[in-house]
Amino acid sequence: MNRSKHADHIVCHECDLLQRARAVPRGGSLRCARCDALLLRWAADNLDVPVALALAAAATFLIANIFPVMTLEFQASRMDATLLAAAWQLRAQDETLVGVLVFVTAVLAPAALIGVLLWLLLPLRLGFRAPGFALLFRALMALSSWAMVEVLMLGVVVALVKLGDMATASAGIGMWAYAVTMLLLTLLSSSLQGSVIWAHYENGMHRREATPGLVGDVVETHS
Amino acid sequence: MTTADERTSAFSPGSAASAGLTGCHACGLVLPVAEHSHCPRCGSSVHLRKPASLARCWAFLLAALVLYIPANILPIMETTSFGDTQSNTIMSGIIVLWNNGSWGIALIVFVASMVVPLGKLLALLVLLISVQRSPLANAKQLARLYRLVELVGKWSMLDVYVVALLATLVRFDIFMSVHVDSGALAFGAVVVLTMLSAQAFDPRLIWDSLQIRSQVRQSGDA
Ligand SMILES: [Zn+2]
Ligand SMILES: [Zn+2]
Repeated sequence: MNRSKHADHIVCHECDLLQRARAVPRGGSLRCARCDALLLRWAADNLDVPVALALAAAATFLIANIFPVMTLEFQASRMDATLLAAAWQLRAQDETLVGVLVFVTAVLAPAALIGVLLWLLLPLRLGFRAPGFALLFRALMALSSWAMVEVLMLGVVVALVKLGDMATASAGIGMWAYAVTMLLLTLLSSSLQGSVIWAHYENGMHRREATPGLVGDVVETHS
Repeated sequence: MTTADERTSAFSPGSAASAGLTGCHACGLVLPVAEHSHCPRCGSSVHLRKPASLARCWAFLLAALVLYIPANILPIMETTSFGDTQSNTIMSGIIVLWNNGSWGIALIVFVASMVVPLGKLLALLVLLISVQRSPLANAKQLARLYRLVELVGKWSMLDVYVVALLATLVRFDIFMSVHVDSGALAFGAVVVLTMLSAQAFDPRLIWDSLQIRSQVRQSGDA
């Protein structure tokens, strides 16, 4: 059903120019002839690297949220800040909405982004399609614009400098785990293309149609 | 950026819309608009242009402009050290960093908290007004401006995170404490509203007005 008669066309998402699709040069990208927008980036055809990166990001993000991102020592006392605690502290200070903003952009959106990527990619890599595939694919874009891991990293650096002259502030394990998560997510977004995801999605379907015997096996490994 | 950037070749006469086609905004599939209300591949609703783009863009932008004032006037946090309480606005926080000799960090915070929000508000105004006026200055530059707005949007959230971290860490009773103040909410709202405004803007409108003009010119020549 997706063997579209417009398969050799590509439409620029920024200026709507109708263009002839062509192979993306290896390691490079394809740009719009009129407005220079990035149309396609080169990405490897297999999902091994994106799946590995997403699994690693899930692990480091978990660590980033369990351990404190910062620690402050003042005289004999000591305070730790995890991200969840920071969002919660805002609630305690009657700034619930700001707390929600911090929680959504620093914890929920990145967690959902990593989770959705794994949910889509891991089954595809294993040869079947996850339930809710189309819906979650659409969610990916919204999630990526509200996940602000890199901004939070800079926030920790600024907070460290601000506290420097009052007390002894130091970065915790959480911050380093956050930094690694940020790196992994950057690599992930440059190694993954929507078109590759859909190619795998459709190939899986063709294979399923061609060899019905395979379906049973695949479904069994799923359940 | 990379050495191997290549350009595509365009079909004459230009926009997909004039050929009755559109690219799915989520997955990129090229579709005849008349035949689909939803993308057959990913299920997104299919539109030639973002619905009510300019109205939504204006609404978010005006709300952001209104909140920009309290965001900069109201204190974002209150610091207490040894009984001495001080209110800090976005700007006073930057000045403190500068005076303490942390020039690099002061500059980064200044760009993220002052230059980016104000620049975004102005850029969105320029985009909206340009698209709605007939003589379009320079489409390519406007497209570049739009891309820049999309790229830098989230960095203004910096101060919200800093305040949240400080309020969580600095809790040593009367000796030293940090409380978040109402300016932080106004500031966070400006960041969110300008991001929503930028997302509502449809950059294809920049090129549409160009195309309509060239069509008018052609029919005038004939
Ligand atoms: Zn374009
Ligand atoms: Zn689609």
